[in-house]
Order: sequence, then structure tokens, then C-alpha cells
Amino acid sequence: MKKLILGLCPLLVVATTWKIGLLMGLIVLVTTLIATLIFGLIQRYLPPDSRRACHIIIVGTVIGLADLYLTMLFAEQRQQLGIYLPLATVSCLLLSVDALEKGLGKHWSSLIWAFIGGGYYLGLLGVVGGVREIFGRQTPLASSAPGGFLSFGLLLGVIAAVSRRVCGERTIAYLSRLDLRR
Amino acid sequence: MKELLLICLGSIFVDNLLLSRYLGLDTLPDEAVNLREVARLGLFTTLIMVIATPIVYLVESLVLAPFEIWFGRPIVILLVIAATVRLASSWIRPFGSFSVINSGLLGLALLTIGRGYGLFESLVYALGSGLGLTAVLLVLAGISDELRFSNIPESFRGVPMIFIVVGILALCLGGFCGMIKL
Repeated sequence: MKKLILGLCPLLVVATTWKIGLLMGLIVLVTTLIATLIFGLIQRYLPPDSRRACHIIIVGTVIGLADLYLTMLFAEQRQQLGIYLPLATVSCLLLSVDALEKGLGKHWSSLIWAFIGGGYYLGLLGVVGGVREIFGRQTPLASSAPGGFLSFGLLLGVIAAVSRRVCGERTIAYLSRLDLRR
Repeated sequence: MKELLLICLGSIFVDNLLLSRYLGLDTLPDEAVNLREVARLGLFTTLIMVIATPIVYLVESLVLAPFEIWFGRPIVILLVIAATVRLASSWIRPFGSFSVINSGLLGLALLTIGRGYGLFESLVYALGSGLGLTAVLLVLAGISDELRFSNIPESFRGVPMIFIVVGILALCLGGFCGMIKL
């Protein structure tokens, strides 16, 4: 769980406005879904030793395709993402491995877990982008590198506090995505 | 010679991999370990960086750039890193928490390619970045060791606190900003 949140970290750089944050989150969500679908289908035919390498190749290929499409359709936004679009490979791999582990070999189950993980990233990136955009108008700190870390940490804390108040401990344990202490 | 020294110092203090580029936070071990283990983990990551980055540079300049396969970069880099980790694990006892899927390793290789460094420059840059990452991880591990005894609000324990601490560290290192142009 902790690894998943820390894997989100490199994507925070680009999330300085809500639009770019949502775009990045959407790329992660779609890529994770496609990669989990493809790898889940061919997984059983691969020898166990080369599974990880095949997973890397599939996720990398899907990210490369996303890169090509973005360059073709939204060249301006692609420029803003810079090297952090290829870096989304790491986050997608983490999410995809996690989804396949949690799905216990069932396709639909792992796809749903991939959707939950990608949606979680999408929401967090969008909200962090929005927060940094709003506060960045007042102070340049929020849109700089330290401000990203600070606002993300404070945001995670606030989310945990609100969800603890609203849903209670049992719901959090059930969702297990919001339990950050593990 | 002076240029190489500047690149090394700059990548440790000014353009730190973790604090100004948000890369490599997922190297942080999951559970609390002692400082010696964290130092070994950081140095192992540095070793992988120093071996893998020149190989990536060679592959990029000999294969990827002449044939313009720029969308295949993340796959190639991740495979080179995976092979290097496998090779290094045969000499050195591998770490339980070290993962091939690591944003620091991939991000460093992408940054090196993006800056257009030569062979020696990329080697020195990898060495400096790895040492900088190790230093920050050591500081972070020390601080989170102390934080166990302090009274943090329940919702902020764990990951949110890590992000806030990293943000404050990044603010401290912001003093070096602009001293060396990289």
C-alpha cells in the first residue's frame, strides 16, 4: 500500500494545474486497464521466469502508444508532460502488479482492482493539481518543488481525517486504499 | 575535469534527484530499518545507477537515436535496469525491499538522455545523483526514527508525514538553487 502512494510521487511534478493533473491521471488509468487486460489474458502461457520482463514490455508499449497519440493529438500538453510521461510506466507497473495480485487470477476481479487503483491516482492528481493551482496564485511556493510535497502530504492527511470521520475505521479497512499506515 | 566536478556537486546539492525531481521516493523501505541498512540500500541503488546509465547511453546513441525509436525508450531502459539488478544481485546479497520497478533508476536514465551528456558525464551524473539520493534517504530514515516518539495527529501518521518531511527538506535544499547551472 505504502509503495503505491510513493509510486505516485514522480507524477506530482506535472500536476500544477487541475487539467494537467487529470490528463496524467487519465493516462495512468487507461494504460493500467489496457496493460492489466492484456497481461491477464496471456499470463498463464508465459514461463514464470520471464513474466516480469513481459509485463514491463507490455506496459512500456502501451505507454509508448499513449505517447504517440498525445504527440499527434495534443502536442502542446505533451510538451508540458516532458519526461514524466515515460515515467508513468513505473506507476502503471506498480498498479498493474498490485491489481493482478489482488485479483487472485480472476480477470474481472483484477480489472476492477486496476480501475480502483487508476481512479485513485486520477482523483488524487486532479485534486492536487487544483490545490496547487489555487494556492499558486497567492504564493509561488505552491507551484514549486517543495510546495508539491507539502500540499500532497497535507492533502493526504486531510483525506484520511475526513474519511475516518465520515466512514469510520471499518470502512477504511475494507477499502484498504485509504489506510496509509500500512 | 572542472566540468565533471560541477556536474557531480550539482547533482548532489542543487538538482537533487529526490528533492527537486520527485524521483526515487519509492526506494524508501516499507518498514522501519536501521540506518546501516538504509545506507546499504542507497549505495546499492547508486551502484545500479552507475552501471546502468552508461549502458543506456550506449544503447541510446547506437541503436535508439539512429533509428528514431524514441517511443521505445522506457521499455529498453527498464529491461537494461532489470538485467543490471539481476547481475548485481549475483555478487551482492539482494535487498528485500529493493524493487526493479523504481522511478529513480528510470528517471535518471531519461534525464541523462534528455540533457545530452556524454559517456563520462553520464557516469559522473549517475554517481552524484545516487549519492544525493542516499544522503536524503539517510536523513529521512533518521527523521522518521525520531518521529515515532512524537505526538503526530492520528490521520497524519505514516505516508502523509513522509511527504511533509520531504517537503521541508526540499525547502532547506532550495537555498542552493541556482548556484550551479546544470
